[in-house]
Amino acid sequence: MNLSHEKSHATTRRHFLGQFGLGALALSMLDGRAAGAALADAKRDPMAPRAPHFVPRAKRVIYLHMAGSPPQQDLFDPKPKLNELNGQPCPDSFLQMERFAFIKGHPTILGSPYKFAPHGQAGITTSELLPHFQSISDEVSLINSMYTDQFNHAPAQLFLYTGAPRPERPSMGAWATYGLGTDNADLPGFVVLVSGGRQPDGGKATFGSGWLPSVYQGVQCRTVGDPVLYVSDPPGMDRAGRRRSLDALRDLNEKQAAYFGDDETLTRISQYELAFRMQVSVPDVMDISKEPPEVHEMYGTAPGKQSLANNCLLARRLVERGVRFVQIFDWGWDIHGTGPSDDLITHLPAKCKEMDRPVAALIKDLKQRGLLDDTLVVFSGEFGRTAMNEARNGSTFLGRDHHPHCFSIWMAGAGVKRGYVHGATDELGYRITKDPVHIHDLQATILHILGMDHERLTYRFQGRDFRLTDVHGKVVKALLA
Amino acid sequence: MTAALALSALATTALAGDADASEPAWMQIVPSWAPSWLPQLAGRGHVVLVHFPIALLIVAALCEFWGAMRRQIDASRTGLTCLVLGALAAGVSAATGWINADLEGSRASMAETLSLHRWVGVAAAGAALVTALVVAPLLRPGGRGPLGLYRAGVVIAAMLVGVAGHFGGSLVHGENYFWSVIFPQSESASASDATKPAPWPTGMATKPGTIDFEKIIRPIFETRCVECHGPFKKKGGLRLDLRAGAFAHPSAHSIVPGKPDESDLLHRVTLPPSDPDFMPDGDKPLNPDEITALRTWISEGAHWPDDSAKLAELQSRQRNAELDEGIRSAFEDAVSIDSNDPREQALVRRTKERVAKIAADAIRAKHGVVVDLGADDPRLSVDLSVIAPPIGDADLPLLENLRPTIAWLNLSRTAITDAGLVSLKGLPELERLRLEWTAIGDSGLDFAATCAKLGTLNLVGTKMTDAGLAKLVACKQLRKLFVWKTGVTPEGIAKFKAARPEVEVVEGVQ
Repeated sequence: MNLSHEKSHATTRRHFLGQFGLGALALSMLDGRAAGAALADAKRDPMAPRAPHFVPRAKRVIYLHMAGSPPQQDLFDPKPKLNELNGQPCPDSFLQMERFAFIKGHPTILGSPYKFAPHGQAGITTSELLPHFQSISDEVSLINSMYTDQFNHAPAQLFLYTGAPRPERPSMGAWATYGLGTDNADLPGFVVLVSGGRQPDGGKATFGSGWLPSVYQGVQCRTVGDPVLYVSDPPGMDRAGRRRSLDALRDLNEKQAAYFGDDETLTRISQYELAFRMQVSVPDVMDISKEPPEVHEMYGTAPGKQSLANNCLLARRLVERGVRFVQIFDWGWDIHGTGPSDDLITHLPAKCKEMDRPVAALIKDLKQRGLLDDTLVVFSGEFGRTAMNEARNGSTFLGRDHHPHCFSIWMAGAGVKRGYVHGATDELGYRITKDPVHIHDLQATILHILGMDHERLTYRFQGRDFRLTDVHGKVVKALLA
Repeated sequence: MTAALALSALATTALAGDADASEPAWMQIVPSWAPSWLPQLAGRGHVVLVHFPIALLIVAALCEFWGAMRRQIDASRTGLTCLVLGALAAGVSAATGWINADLEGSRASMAETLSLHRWVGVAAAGAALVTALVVAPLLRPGGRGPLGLYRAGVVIAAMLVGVAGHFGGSLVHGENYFWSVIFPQSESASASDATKPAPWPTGMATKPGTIDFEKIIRPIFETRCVECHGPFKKKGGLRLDLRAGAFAHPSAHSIVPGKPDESDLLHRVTLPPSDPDFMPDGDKPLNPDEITALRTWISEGAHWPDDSAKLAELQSRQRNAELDEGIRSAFEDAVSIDSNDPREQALVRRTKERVAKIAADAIRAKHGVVVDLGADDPRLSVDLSVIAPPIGDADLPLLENLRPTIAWLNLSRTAITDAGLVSLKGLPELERLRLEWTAIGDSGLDFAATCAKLGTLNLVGTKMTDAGLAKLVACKQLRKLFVWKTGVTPEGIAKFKAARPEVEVVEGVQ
């Protein structure tokens, strides 16, 4: 490493003018001690809690992502007309100017094999695949008019979490912790939990920090083995020894930070310290075996397993302790119908069974603990699924292809209406007919619920102020309680 | 030639010996058209110019010394050039130096050094000029002419200029500036330098006379004068408890050392009491013994022992007292003032912010959370539940100075007790309170009734019972209540809901 090169990289002309010119002037005009201290605090601890732009509705977010994307026609958005037209060729208009991920030729309409019925006081109509969800439907805002720009998993996931379909930008959780810091100094502010045996297609960029300081990236915790890899002390290293070595490292890093002025050095210092505290705090919070039996019964959890149920329970434990953003990914919702492992008849009910109980349990548990009062829960895939049977390579298993023009998601908890359905789709569930909500609108709304104006939450990179919502996005006011 | 003229003028002045003349003789040759600042500028130029003759004359001497060693029979051309230039520079330096000495003056202690510097400098310039202008033209190639005289003149001029330079350096940098690097002065000397007392007034005795100040004079001042001329009133700018205060205003002539008849203090105390200038004002006159003592003391030089240390201590004590008083009153003002003056409002706001920041930092130091609800709402969200190990009653005073602005408070999973919570008394802005999984019971809920704006209360996992629930009926703003895993019964809840139907009571969810 050539140190002089590193320094010249760290301090560009703009940095210099910004930091030493106007910055010094501004500082000298303020109460020197107070301003200096505040600046030092922010520099020293990038995860320190910060006030949002306005009074927040929620302090925390749990995002439940059903990776692969569940079919809205079979869960949340009943379309009897599909069953009427089942097996008939779809209207030609479905195919004009359209490109599908897998469908070839002229596909046929696929009705839903599942029965729908209204539930709860609000009478939200949901599928028989979600018996537990029925019991919480009065708590949620169901959005049937979501749409996206992307029709493949990785770009669609990236689009949902970073506002752009390419891996480069910070994710939603990173923006949230960048804007608000975190409440619990002993735990990561942004935790990622993965189940379903596969990482999200969008990769780590779906929970990365992009060009934000890397302290804001999501920390993936495991439910099997060490919760966080490489956090435990190796044999022969006791806690006092670890402390001494970290102190020495911190001294060196502080010297480097003072010399180069690079935020990433500060990230390193703060992450080492966090890791040290996590050696105690994370095993404690991640140990769900301490929960009483009725809780395990409620969620359907089994300690030591990698499952969505375990992750839902962990999410509750994490937000209870002040973690800002918990991102859950559960793979297995890509119902193409190429075989028994991804079809509508056997696989989807199995996935729903894995998901329905713990997700409903999470909402109920948050509610009875009073946590739903300041926690926002979001449930979504990355896009929707087609009204037509995919029949890839002549498959006889039933399934649906990727569909960006409409899909269903729901939100529950702080700041959103309870027992409310937003938007509508046409009778075949192919396009939105009422109140469309774009991905950028969803992002703007989530930030709004956290007390942040998506147009003001910016980060300057390469000479431009970037936001999660790029140059788009409108807060969906109708969703707000 | 100008230099020579100046020099002769200077010599005339010096020989006239009129050192006390109000106008130096050289003033006569300053042309009338010259701007008034010219002499002073020229004088100050001296300290720059002097370096030329020093270097040039020494080089000239070295050249001749070298030539003599090599048994050269001709003068060195380099040396001659240096000598001529050096001699002219020496003349100008001497002239400007003379002006400088007259205009800038010097410390009295340096008068002797200045005099030596002046005359050695003039001598150096004279020697150089004579050698350069009189002896040098007599030299002839081939060793003829007064080479020995020339060489002696050069060396003498160089030596003189060196000595003059030394005295000049002493004037500017102080004695021993140069050698003190190698032979430092003793520590006691430099220490006494650092604590040098305030300058003594002119004519003031440095040693006590027959009148003991502390035993005789100070008691007079203390009993008869200090009430009005002391730390509290300082009338007329005079205070007689400190030396610095007694001699603070030289123009007032209160005490003129050695001259009792010119001392206003003595004059006033001897006036008839009816006189408007009489002192002590409105009091009986000093008795004759006291007046005699004062007169003698002043005529003996008004010796007043050094009390600068006492002064410094008094000043620092006063500053601290003012600071303490300022902080205390500012804080009291901040919490009580209700002003329409924008400046006062700003002061109040800043003081509140400062006090709150100190309190908030104490919580943050423990990894607790104190954060504004929003950038547009300065009320606070405070979270003590994230502190490990859990806080207890002893830590609740952390909240004291944030009391007026706490809107959301999270004390869940802490080790606080009913007594601690009740001791917090009402938090006027509190809207949301989380107490879940604490040992709080019914008696702790008296606290809730004292928070007028409480809207959301989380009591999950606490020891509360129906009795505590009944107390909460009094919380008029309450809208949400979480009572899962507590001792409340369905009957208790039904009763509560009957009294407060608008409150959402959340129990366990099936």
